[in-house]
Amino acid sequence: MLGLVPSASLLGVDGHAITVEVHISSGLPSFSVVGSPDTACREASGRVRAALLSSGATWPSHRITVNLAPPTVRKVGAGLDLAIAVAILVASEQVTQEAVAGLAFLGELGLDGSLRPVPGTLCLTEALGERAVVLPAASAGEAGLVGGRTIHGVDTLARVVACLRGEEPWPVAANEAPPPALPAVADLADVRGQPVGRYAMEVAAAGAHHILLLGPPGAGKTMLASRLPGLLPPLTDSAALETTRIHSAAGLGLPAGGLIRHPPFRAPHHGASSVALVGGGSLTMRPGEISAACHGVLFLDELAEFATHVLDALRQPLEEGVVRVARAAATVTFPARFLLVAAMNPCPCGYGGRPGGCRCTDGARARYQRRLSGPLLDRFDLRVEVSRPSVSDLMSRSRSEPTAAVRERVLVARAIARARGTATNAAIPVDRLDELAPLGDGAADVLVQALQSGRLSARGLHRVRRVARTVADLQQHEAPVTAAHVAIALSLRADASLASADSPALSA
Amino acid sequence: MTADRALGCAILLAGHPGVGPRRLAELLAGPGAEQGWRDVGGDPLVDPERVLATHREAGVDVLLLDDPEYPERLRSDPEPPAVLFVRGDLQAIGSTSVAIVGTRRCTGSGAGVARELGRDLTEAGVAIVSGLALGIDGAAHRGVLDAGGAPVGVVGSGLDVVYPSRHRDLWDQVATHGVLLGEAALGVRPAAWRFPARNRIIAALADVVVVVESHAAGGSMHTVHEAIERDRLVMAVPGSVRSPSAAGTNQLIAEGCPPVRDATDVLVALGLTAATRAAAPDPRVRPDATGRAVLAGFDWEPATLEHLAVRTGLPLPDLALALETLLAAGWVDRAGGWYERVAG
Repeated sequence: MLGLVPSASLLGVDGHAITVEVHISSGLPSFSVVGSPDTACREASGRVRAALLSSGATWPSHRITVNLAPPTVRKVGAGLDLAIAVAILVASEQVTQEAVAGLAFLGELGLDGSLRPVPGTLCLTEALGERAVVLPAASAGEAGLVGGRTIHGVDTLARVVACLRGEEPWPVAANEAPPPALPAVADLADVRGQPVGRYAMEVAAAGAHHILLLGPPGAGKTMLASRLPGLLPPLTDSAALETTRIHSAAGLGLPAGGLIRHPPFRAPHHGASSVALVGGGSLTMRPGEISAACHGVLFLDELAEFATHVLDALRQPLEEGVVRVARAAATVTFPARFLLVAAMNPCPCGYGGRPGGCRCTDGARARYQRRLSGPLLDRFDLRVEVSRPSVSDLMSRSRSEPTAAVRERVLVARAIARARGTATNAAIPVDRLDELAPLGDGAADVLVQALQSGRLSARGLHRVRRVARTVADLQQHEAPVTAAHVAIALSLRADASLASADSPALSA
Repeated sequence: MTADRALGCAILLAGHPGVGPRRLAELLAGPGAEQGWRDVGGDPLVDPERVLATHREAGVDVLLLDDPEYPERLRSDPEPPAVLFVRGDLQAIGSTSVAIVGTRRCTGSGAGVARELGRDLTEAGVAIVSGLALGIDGAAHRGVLDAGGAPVGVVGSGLDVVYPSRHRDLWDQVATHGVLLGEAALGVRPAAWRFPARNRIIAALADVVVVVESHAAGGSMHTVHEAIERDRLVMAVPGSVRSPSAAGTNQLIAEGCPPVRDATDVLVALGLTAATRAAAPDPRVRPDATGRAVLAGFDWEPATLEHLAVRTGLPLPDLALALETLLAAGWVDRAGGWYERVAG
């Protein structure tokens, strides 16, 4: 007596179609799962047996063998519970094989027979092809995002059995998604004073430039960073689906309606391991924080407190927009196109930015700065010193320019950049800079002065030119960039070595 | 050659990590260098004469207290270095000398003042003593070199162990044009206790100690303490009451140290007549009205772009362009995200 039921299992952000085969033969009562299950999957026996008995079905007192095919794919988690339960019903002839034709099953079972959602429903549904999918009612909205599929959202195993026996009609998921609610983002109007910090966030949003905020404790670095997602445009359809898939696979909460329409904001703590940040894990291959921040903002507060190897793991994804995680069991690729915002104190005491202000020993300063590799610091197009707002600004009743007004300018600047044929200004290739960001009168002179005095490196030159393009776009200035645009770009790029203990005045 | 052997043993003792200046003086005055080397458990296989030869080959003179070459100012000190290592010409110490000391983490303006004092006092015929550290010390030495003078550098490590390594060029120039002094044998790494010990030599060599910038508690305050013990005059350059790097110097002035505004104040204190220095025309391109407004916004304190934007009220494009022009012309300096006004 055999039962065959299709389902799916998750690896990284991709679903893999699985066939659950159950064979019931005479022999001493037993239950075994074969075909690369992990621990949670193997423990299905307890949940499935209790759920079947709670739902009024019979547990066959025979030898039960569950095979999860193909055996080369590792099955993770409890998402196959429902499929195993249905396959047992078929194999024990409580339900006919014809009744499950054209259906696939996803969901975890509670001991009372309730159906619980599983992470990655979106990706799993995609992997199931044209079949109608039976899954927990709570996941129906998310599965409906795939489109063109019939989704049956059911809340208990008892109802699944009733529907399979033809005693009840399959419930049809209400497919109209509620309009995406505007997320409650922090408003830029709450940031008092700080004209340069605010402007730097505007430039970062307009050109998708990675930004490093430097400053003493209490200068408002975190406050500024949390305002950035509100300045970014809403996600395109494909970006929204990609981000939603990652959040679904990572088991993160999805908004009402299922689809993530607004740029996510992820702020992992500086104790994060490289697996937590980049993704992986020996079995689950879960996407990390940088993928969860895909098409949104990754905020690393206290950048220098992150472990060096964790930060260096960011370099490849920053360059390529994807992260490839290789493990003995499998290699997966996660999308990771994010806007990086980092904040740090210039030295351990926090006051070393100001010349003569530092209280640290030379060794402490050197150790602190060694934690950040030059190549990583170089990825930041914008490096901005944030200073504490004055008391009068803090107590002022007048509110600053709100997010909505700044966002208008950002959207216009982004449209100008897109019309030139590049996604964002940060992505202008070096060989097209002369074509897309030509230097107007006097602009080259400013750059030459900065290069000759050693204030600007050859590597920094390209980045300054891209930022200057964004500054010009924000003013809707489509002609070649001017000296003032270049000067602003230079002033928003503080020296990577931070303030040196030896005054630069002496090197003259 | 027992004299050489004794001198070699004195060098070995001066390089021994367990022997400080006081113990060294006791050993040399009591049992003598050879017996002292045995007493501290020194390696008997080391050849003292070879060690002495190594120093001579490196151009380092080794002077004991009774050496006729030994500087008189140090010999009369209550705690003279029992063994003095010298690279360069001891004549640089001169008859009148001023120590210029201060914090390593100085502002650009503090470094500028130190450099000017070094230059102007050298031109007035005063020898300048300092400690070759980063910041104020280095600036003072560079000021002496600007004026073509002979700097006196007192260091806390062996004369071949450049510390800080960033000052290698300055180290060599001081030895070439002036003199490097220390009480550690070649190869001795800088240990934390050697710097306070070095400070007492700086105080002993100077008639006046000028502190240019110092945090409330800093190494310069130790030099001040040593100078007061030796009855040397301590003077301080006043700074902004808001500047953390001027907290120590302002405190000194509050306690009664005479302030130093320029080299003349120091020369008057030394009883010398100040040669008035003809004000040279500033070679820098005169800034335009926006540039002058930005310079006025500095108030002679370090400022971020944000400070300047708020103080001047200028639109960011104008401000950024003005700053780039001022940077290029040398009116302003930039360190990290901070800008500083540079004096003429």
